[in-house]
Amino acid sequence: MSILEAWRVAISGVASNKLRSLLTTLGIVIGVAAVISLVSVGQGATQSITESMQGLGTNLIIITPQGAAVELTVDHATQLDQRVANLTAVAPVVSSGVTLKWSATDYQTQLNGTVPSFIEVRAYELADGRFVAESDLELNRRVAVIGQTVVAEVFKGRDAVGQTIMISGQQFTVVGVLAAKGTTAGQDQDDLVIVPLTTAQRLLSSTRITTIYGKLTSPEAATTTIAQIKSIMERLLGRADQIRVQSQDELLATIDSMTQTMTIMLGAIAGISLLVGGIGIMNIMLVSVTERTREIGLRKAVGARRVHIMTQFMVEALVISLGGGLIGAAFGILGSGLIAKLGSWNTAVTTASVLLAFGFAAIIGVGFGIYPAIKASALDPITALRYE
Amino acid sequence: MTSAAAMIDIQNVTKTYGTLRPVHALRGIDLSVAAGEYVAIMGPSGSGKSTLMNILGCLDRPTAGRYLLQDRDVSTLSDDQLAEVRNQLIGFVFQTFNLLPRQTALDNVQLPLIYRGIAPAERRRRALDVLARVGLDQWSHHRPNQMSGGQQQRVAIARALVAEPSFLLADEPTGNLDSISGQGVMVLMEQLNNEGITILLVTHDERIAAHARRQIRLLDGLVVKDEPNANPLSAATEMQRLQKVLADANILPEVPQ
Repeated sequence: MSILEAWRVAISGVASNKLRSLLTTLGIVIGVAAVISLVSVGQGATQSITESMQGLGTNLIIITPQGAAVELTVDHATQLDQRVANLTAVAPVVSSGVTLKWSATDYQTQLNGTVPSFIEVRAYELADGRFVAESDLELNRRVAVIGQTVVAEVFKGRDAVGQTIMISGQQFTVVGVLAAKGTTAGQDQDDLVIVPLTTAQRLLSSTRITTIYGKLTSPEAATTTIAQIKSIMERLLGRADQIRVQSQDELLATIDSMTQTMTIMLGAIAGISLLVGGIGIMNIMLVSVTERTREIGLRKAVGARRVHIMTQFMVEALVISLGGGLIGAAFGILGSGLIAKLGSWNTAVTTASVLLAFGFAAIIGVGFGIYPAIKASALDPITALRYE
Repeated sequence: MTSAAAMIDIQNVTKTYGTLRPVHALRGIDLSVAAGEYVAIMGPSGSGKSTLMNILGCLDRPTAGRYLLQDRDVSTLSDDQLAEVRNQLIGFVFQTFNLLPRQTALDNVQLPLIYRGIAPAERRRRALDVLARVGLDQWSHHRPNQMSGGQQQRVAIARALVAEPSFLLADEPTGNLDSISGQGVMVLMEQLNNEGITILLVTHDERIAAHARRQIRLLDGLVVKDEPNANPLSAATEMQRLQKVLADANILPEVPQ
């Protein structure tokens, strides 16, 4: 008996009891659809986080002090800029929470005192005006560049460039507005005010640097560059473990592993429903074997060997599970679209998740179909023929 | 297909069921059937008739003794080997027809050929041939529930014939049919035997057994009678007699197809 023949017989067997087959298939349909749509939610979260991480600045290296006793300085940044070939730009930043005042509006935001390379390192773009310039640093000018959230909250959409604002009691002139960048890992990248580094140090009366950002030539250079930065900083600070150096890739990997865990959990919960569907298949196949005992007896009498009977019932279970997998995949893709629309979540259906769900359905078909099939093939033809 | 030697040669076959309180269903049977014979195997229930039939049909193995089928010892074959023997050498006809209800007559008849691995076109051609031979060429696309009992049994006979077996093993083939339909089946059997087909007819019905040219009677697991039927009942003549009886009783018989 050819494979094609086996499929033909199995399909006619499944089709002969349409309602029952449909209900059995439903278990697999729901399981596969749940796996695909829930995994798409997890994948979508990963994707949107990855995208917004990219917004942090391409090939970003972040150097922060470990502990309050460690003091980073502008000199450290300069040293790194000169010595590390893989860093195309370095931007020291001093940051602090401040209250910003304009007209009658008070607004809490983050002050970033930095250098002109900041805009390149952190991959911001200007929407209006200009950025902090070298001359601003030299002259300690009280100029400010503000993010879109500040524009919206303080100026309520009015033209901000040229306006005078108060930061910690000192007057600053707004010279530029940054283009919107969105939220990264829960942090609003547009809620900030940027001033010249020297001005900020004077304002906060501190020479301490909060963070040194660096831009890598390529992401592949991350590991070697981090090691290099660490050894240079160790020499400059006299001790190891004084600073923390992270690349954007590492950050991504951390967040990735978190969302991956979420995806796996969602997938596993959905997988349980697929398992229940598989038990449904086994149940129906057992009923089917009992009902068709005489048919099995007859097939054996006219020359069906064990493998023929086994194949027939195995393929029948497979037809149900693969059919359910196919319909389930369609519903899953549909469902993921629906979740994206109704829940305004980001969802992403990947080929891998569809193949996984489909493959799992097939494995369940084989796994739960094998016992009924063996039972059928082991029937004694004499007893089976006499079965009422 | 016809050979001078015995086609079926059973030597001192016994069959015992159970070990604690053994039941001796067959207690040493010797039997040989030549090609072309028309044999009735008779006996009351409990006589070992069914057990002998199962062994003859290679559905079961004897506890002891030898069964040579076309000079091949089939008494010790495995289940799958027996399946192959059944597929190639034996055509079964059952009391309850045992057709697959959701398949057409044509598909039902093709079944043994599927397990022999014959290509679809060839299968179809052969199935149509045998359906014509049993007079059902117009019914090939009907399902069992669209046919009369007599027609269903003829589909079953066609299925038994399609693989060109050594012999037909018919178990009470008229048991579930009314007299006219049943007699129609007997007419067909006689005709097939006249064409050279070996028939083993298992029955408890004396009138059905009367058609055979040799009668074997079992009792308590032993052959108590094995002799040629000097004057077999002609199926066609019996059919005429039955029709007359029914006509006299003013019952309009169903005209068999």
